[in-house]
Amino acid sequence: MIFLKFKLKRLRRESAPDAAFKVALRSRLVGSQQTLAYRASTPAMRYAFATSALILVVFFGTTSYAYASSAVTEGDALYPVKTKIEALEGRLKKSPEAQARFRAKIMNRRMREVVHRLRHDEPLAPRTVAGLAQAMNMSVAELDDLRQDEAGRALIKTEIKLKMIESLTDFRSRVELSDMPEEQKDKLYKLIDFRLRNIERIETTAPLE
Amino acid sequence: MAGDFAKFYDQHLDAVYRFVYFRVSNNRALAEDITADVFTSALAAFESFDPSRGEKAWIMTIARNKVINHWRDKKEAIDIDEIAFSLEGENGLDNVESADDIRHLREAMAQLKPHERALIEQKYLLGYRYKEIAKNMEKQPGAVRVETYRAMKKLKELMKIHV
Repeated sequence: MIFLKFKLKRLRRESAPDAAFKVALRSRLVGSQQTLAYRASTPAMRYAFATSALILVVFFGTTSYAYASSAVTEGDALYPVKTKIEALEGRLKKSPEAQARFRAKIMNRRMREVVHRLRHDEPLAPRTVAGLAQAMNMSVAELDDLRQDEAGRALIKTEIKLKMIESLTDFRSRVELSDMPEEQKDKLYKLIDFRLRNIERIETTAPLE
Repeated sequence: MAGDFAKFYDQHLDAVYRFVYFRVSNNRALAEDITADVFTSALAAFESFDPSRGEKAWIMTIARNKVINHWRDKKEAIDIDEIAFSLEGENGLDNVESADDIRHLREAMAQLKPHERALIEQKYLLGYRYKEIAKNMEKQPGAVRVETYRAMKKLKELMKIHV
């Protein structure tokens, strides 16, 4: 039994998370918060810490809102916070399928932001359109790069492809129903149709449903 | 809250990672993705977490759900406890290179019944105490200790067959 326990100990060591991963994830999740916690050792520091904590609570409440809301769009003061959190989220996605899903999600977020603007009759800034085009490009490229070397991955690729087609088509009809100037509509149609054609060309080995 | 989450992360990261790793065919990249997801969800819900539920039970429930969702996304209906310790990756190849004796151990582990495997995994790989395992399994600690001993004896026998 001693040898068995020894081998289990080895298996435990072998299955431990990579140290770099542990540190990276920790610093992303709690790094800034931890720094504040360590500093609160003297009364003056505790006061400062309480103030910082309050700011932190407000900050994190705000960041959650910034991240989750489609109402936070290009030009909004919170928009850089939103894109920073997204970038952080993207860095945590390591497997190719997680990256492809993430890119598709970002494309959907950009489209929802445009829809929000349309609903509120807000004009589309050139940077909004550029951001949308970039998100679409990255999403299509990530899907195209996703290898189908495994049956499961092929299914995921097909699934993402179908969802992207569905959301782009839905977005197109929302643009069509909106009151935006025809010229602007045409611009968006071009963006959407070009990506739709590209996506349809992407080969998937799993059958399309 | 900030310090609490850091402490919480330090205490549970290894166990969560191992739990996930053994259920995704030992695919490190995937295990890291899912583990990151688990802790991101935990951070989002940390403020509303009820400590009376037990930290370990809570984070492991999140991990369990994330692994189930991963396999569901792949359209594979599996029992995540049944596939634990399976060495074969999704491409039919092993995802890890291990020394022969550790490979035998994994193979033998895969042959145990899910319940026996869970006992050994929780005790020797995830670092649970008998009291915690008993609570998870709604049993008496004494009974869990005996069952773990039996599972270890069986594992030892299986290891002999492999060698």
